[in-house]
Amino acid sequence: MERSVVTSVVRECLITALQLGAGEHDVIGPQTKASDLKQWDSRAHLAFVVELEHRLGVQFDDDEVVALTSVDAVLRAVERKRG
Amino acid sequence: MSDVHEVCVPQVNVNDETVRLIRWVARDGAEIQQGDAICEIETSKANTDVVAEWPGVLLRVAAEDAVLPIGARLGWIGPTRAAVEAVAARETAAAHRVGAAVPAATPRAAALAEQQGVALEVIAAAGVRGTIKEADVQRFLAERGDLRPFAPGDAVPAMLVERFLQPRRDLSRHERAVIDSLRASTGSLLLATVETDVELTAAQQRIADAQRGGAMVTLLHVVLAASARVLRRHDSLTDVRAGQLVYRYRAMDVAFVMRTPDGRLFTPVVRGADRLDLEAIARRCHAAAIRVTRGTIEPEELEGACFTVSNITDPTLTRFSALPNRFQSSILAAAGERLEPRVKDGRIVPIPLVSMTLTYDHGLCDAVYAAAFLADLKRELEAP
Repeated sequence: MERSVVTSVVRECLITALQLGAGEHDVIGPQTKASDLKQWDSRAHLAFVVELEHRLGVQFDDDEVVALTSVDAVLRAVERKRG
Repeated sequence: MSDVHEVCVPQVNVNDETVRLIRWVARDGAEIQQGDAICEIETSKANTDVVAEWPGVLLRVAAEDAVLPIGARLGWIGPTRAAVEAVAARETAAAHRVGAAVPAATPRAAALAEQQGVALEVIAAAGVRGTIKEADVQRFLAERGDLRPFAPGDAVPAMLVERFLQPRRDLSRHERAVIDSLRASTGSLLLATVETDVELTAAQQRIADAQRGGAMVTLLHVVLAASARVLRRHDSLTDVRAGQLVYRYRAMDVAFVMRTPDGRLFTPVVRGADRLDLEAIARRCHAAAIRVTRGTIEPEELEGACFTVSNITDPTLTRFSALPNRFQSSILAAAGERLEPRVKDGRIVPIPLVSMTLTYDHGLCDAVYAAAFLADLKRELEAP
């Protein structure tokens, strides 16, 4: 899967997990951090991780889950897992 | 009758007049062998097992944690469940006929006991003192756990069902477990609440710092960490009542309420939360939540907490109260963050606030004590 596709999937997962409205989708990009989005709380983080694992066919370990603080961090973690 | 035997509290120590039934080892209705341990009792000197003198099916009568006189009935053992239940019923009826004192009970308690098919004498024998109240019956039923559970439909008048209601679905196994647990907990607690507003400026700075450092810390983790530290100075909130005894937890193991993506509630426990830094708490919370969702959490990871934190971050929710979990006496509910105008340095500025509501057992501490905990927690969060 190309990085652009992975980026797109990550973006869709975040929109789903945070239940963002149509007008909020544009704020999601590679530089988006958890602190940029009020909705990115513990519940949303769990939903995000579950959605990522389901869509990308990966499984994050404990250290990785707590380190997913931005879209960029997620992309780097996914790249590491997919070799 | 000759095949059915009464199991009574043994005289282990000569000077003891009572013992406490710590726990049943054998489940109700279990087929047991002669010599099997059936329950554990606490005497004045030591804990000891009561063993079966006969093989057969066990019918448990006394409730766990009850203080019982020597010779009091613990249960029955007989060849079949039907046989022991028949003898137990005959004995109860005989006690009525010879004019044995029927325990005093409130009308609601008597009605509930009758509905559930439990004799008032059995409830009294389980350690209830004085007039039996509805809460006593509910507690007895919850502790037994093996009697017919309340079904919400039981209490709905037929007229409502015929004219206004239609069956929608059965409760799920998980919903039943949550309801049973909360009913067992709140049935014995005298619940009261206190609440306060906490300014989040400092907490948000800590969260931002942690996230910049690469750790997905949220308000839940900050509140859980602060609560655990503050609870060390207010540990009556972690006491729990059971019968005549008050217990205190040995460690600050704090649970948090989590909701799986499919809507099920769980309360995983962070062990020794008062000794962990914020990142470690965040890591453990995320890891436990993931394990719950994957179905790989171990049952013991959901047990043994002295306190629980619930955080609903919906910004439209200004405050809410939560119900303490079973074998806990208090729970903290932190609502969504909101902005309110405050005067700072002579200017009106928006300040991020969160309402926190502490639900506690008034049987163990009063509002002044509970308020002192919240005031301490507010200081900890606003100026860590």
